[in-house]
Amino acid sequence: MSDIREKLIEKIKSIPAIPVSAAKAIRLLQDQDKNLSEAIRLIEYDPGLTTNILKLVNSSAFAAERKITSLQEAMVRLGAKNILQMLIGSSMAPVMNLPVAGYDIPPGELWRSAVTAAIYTDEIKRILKLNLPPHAFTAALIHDIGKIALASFIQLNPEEIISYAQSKGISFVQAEQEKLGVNHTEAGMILLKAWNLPEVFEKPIMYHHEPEKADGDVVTEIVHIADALTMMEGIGTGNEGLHYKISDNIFEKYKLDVDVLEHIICSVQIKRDELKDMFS
Amino acid sequence: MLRVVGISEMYVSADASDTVVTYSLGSCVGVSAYDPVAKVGGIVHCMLPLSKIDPVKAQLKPCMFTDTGLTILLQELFNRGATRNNLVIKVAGAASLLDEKGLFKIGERNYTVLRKVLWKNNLLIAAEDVYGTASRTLSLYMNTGKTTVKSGGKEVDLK
Repeated sequence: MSDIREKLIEKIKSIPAIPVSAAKAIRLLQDQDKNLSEAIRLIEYDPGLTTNILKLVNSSAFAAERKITSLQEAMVRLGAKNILQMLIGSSMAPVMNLPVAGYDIPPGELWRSAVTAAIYTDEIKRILKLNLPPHAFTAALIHDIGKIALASFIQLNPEEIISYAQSKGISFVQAEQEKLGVNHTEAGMILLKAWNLPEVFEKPIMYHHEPEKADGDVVTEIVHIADALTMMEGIGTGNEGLHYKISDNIFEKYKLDVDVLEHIICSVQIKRDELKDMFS
Repeated sequence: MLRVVGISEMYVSADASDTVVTYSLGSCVGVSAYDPVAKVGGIVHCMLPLSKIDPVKAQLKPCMFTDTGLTILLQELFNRGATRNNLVIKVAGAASLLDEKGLFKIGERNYTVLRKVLWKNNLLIAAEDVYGTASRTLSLYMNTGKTTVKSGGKEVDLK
């Protein structure tokens, strides 16, 4: 078992990182002392990143009154923190669009599920009137990044893991752990470190299946709920199916009963329709 | 032609070369209805049980809800020549997460509402693959009315 584990970790570390310009800009944006224009210049040279940010900032989600056409304006409108979140999100898109063979998830589906979880996070925040930090949306977007690490680059046998999970009545993530010695949350952490992403994403990536372990980190708790609801819809589940253990404590903490949940699901559906083109 | 039915959508076909399919049925319910005489059929993919939680959105997207969505599917089929006696109804979905306390059973509630709508319309379920934790894909082959469910990589005939 430890042999498999070591090999997996080595392979995860060799996964090609996000585009260099994005990585650099992410670092610059985190540094308070640096001039923001430096970060903008970096992003501007990357047409893919620029388009994605402009698409996002002009979407109904951010309710811009008029079209925003430059990164400079986007920066003024949203602030460096939000741009940072968007940058991280949009640099993940190409990676997330790879087929996730091991989980029997078709290309684009993991991205679709990531976006759905992010929209859930926003709607939960709005409906429950929560005060969430700006990185919550991005945390939901990238929380399952480890699945790519485990499945696309490593030939794991999903049949074996799913039947193991079913026979033992455990969740897929537990089965990953027991069969491979590493699960997708830990794989996500290794990627996070290798790609130099901010520490605020550690808990949501590591503990979105076990939110009680996140020491009350609200973002992790909300990502857990968002992830569970996305799974429940059947999006991005692949072979994992709905083998997802929800945390009763967290659902109770936020007083989520059937009525509230259905209300949230309903508004996410409408919002997702509005955002459809943006992520295609 | 492959006709994909998204979440909260339906598709009705009278073209024998069509395959109507809906992916990622989690706690949602997918209903396939086919009339072998009129050769018309369709699928609806509903997400939530009752439209009364948000009547405005229900007007906007009636297929989001099992009560309104299934009613619309049946209505459309009847309009296009299907009859109660001939209609073959098959159902898939209504799965749940591993939810020990059963805080929310949306899948189960979807299924209950579905039975009620069918019962009101004097219709029976011919075959089904529901509950459990599988995510399912439901397909209706318009040339024969064959209906299949795919989950965990295996496609089986629903009969």
